[in-house]
Amino acid sequence: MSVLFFLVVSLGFGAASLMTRRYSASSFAIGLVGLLAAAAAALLITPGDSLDLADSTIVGSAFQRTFLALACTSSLLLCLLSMTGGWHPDLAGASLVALGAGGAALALGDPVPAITATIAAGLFGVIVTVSFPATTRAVNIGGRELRAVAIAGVLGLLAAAWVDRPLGPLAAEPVVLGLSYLAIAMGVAIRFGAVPFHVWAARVSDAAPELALPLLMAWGPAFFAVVGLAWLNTALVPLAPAPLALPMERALVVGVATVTLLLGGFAAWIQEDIEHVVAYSIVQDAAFVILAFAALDGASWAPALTWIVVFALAKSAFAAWALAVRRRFGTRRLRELRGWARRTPLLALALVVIAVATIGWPGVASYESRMALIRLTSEGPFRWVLIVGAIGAVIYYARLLAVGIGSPGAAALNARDDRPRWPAGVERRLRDPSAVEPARGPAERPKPGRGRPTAADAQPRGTPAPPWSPWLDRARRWLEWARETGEPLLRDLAVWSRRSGVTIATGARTLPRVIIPAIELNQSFIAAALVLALSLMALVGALGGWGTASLSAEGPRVSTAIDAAR
Amino acid sequence: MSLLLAATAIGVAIGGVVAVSAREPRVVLLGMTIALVGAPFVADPLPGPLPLAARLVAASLASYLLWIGSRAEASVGRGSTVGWPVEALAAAAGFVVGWGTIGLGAPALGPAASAAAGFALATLTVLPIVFARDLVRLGHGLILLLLASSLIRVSLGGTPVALEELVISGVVVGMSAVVAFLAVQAAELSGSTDGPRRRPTSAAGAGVDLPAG
Repeated sequence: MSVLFFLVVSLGFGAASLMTRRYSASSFAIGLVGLLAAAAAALLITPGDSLDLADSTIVGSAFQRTFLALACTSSLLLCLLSMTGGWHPDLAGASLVALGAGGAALALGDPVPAITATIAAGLFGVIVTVSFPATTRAVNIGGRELRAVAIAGVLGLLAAAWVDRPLGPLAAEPVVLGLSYLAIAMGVAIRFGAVPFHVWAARVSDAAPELALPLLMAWGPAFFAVVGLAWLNTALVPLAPAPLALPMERALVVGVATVTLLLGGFAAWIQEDIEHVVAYSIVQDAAFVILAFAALDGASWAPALTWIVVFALAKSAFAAWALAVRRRFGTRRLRELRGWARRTPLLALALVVIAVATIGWPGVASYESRMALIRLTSEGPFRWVLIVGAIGAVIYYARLLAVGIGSPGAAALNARDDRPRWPAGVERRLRDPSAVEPARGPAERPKPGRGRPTAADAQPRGTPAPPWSPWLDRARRWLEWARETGEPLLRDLAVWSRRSGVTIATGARTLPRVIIPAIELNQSFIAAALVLALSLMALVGALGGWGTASLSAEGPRVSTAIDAAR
Repeated sequence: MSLLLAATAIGVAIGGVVAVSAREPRVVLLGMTIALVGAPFVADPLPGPLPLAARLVAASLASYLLWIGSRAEASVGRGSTVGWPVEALAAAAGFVVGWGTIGLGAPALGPAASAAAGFALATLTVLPIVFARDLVRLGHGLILLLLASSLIRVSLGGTPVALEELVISGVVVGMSAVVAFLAVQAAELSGSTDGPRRRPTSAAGAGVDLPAG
């Protein structure tokens, strides 16, 4: 029941947000509320809670709860960040629908509908790719993305349909297992944009806004990968005892992962556009998810899930960092961003945290999970190639930081720094208290007229009276009556009420005048703080928080609905 | 194997041929509707009343969404580059192959007709998907590919349970919505629905496809 509640909340708010997209502000507000509600609903998912629905079963799991709650929170922070720049009205609604469909995929007990649901999870990212406002190029790239999502999903669907039935003597046929295995592994590679299927992903990084990249290239494909890996471990692995089975097919998958790891890192290193750096870094880190498929061993389950969580969180933070930098300095070209880190230490700190979370060090969950995947899929000198590729990510992070701590260029000099700012009036008063308007003495105060005040007394001529003025009049007359009465309790009550009312009214008038301009003035600071929050989420995941460490203890057969159903 | 089931499978394949061959948007839509409405009936036993109703409602909604996308396109599409006879022959070949390879090496739990219809549709989608020069045509190809995979799944594993039918319905509607969205956006932008492999319209580059990517 708890899973159904999450699905209703996420899909309901998502559909409402997308259907009201003509009214962009309302649509976005519905999406934000929906993401908050969906994050709360995800936290309410109870592991093992099952519900019979339409001749089938949906099951909750610990991984599902963790993954969906983190995905919703991360999307919420990205949407809040988009309010400081990079505004995309469809992002919240599309994220909700994608996460809802992904949640359904993780909850479904049967692999075929689960894989079908992952297609839905990828579909609505296309709407975000066709950025706001749409361009012909973006629309064409949306078509390319739709093709990748559909083909990858159909490959997985056919693989599951072929094997997920009584096979009889066919179960011992390596061709059947090999083709099914290759179909699901290549489907995942296509979805992540792995080399050599990376063309669509490269184009998407051109057309889509920075904040959409995590949804399109990390969270959406991650659902497909988790479902595919669960199916692989429960359906194929028992039929093909690792590590001897399917050597050619596994070598091909390892080859794709290796090429992706090395070329993705190299491409991220040489890019001038920081959005492209983000996109290729996502492609590079996705190589470890493909390595999990190459292992063809149940032991890859726990490290793969750990890495998927860290990967999606870290790449969300990296995309947010790219948007914050572009907004702050007005450019995405690295050569124009010289000295950026000197100008904004918060973003520099966030980048360091992202790099640390992604690369890690021995003993840390993110590092150990990647090394476990490498150990399961390689040996001898080739293992060192993969290790170098894994640690090689440090090169492009170092390059970004090196550019940032160099002598500031024009963009850095003209950009605002991280210091919080007060609105102009407040700042003036803080610097010079004498500038505060002096309080007028009793003699200078206008005397209120006795008796029932008229509309002409309360308002300048020509200004309509506010709707609450009759209530204010009544309150004022009651206070005067109570003050003039001889009853001390009533008099004290009246005086206290008046003072409280004046304090509340003054605060209500003053606070928005300070807070709203303060938010507008400090958008850069707020954006940097949000990026830092996202990067800290990734770091917590990398250190084994968010339950990622316990996944290893759970073992490969208890974390998704597919396993639970079997 | 009832004759009606085979006739329905042939009808679905014919719908696919019409959808990928025709140039007139209304005729294309007619073919898509035939394929979408007919596909859930190519199963033995038939799905229950509620899942079947869900598939039919989804097919109607998907057709309506595709109609919205087609209305946005002012001019007629390019249709098939090889002509409808070739498409029909390819579909017939796929139909025969599907019928003959029922179960793909293991005992099948579903009818041969669904495998035949699935293989026919899958054959038809190759050209629109691989050589798509038209976004709407690409979208139609992808929807037909999804239908083809669901039909092949029916032939291998038997009639899906109700929840799976609901999920397929949702994905069909979602994909149609995204295709319609892209078509409307493309039409609003330039009046053209050129897809990922655009053909330059200038005299110098006429007839030359842009490289993929």
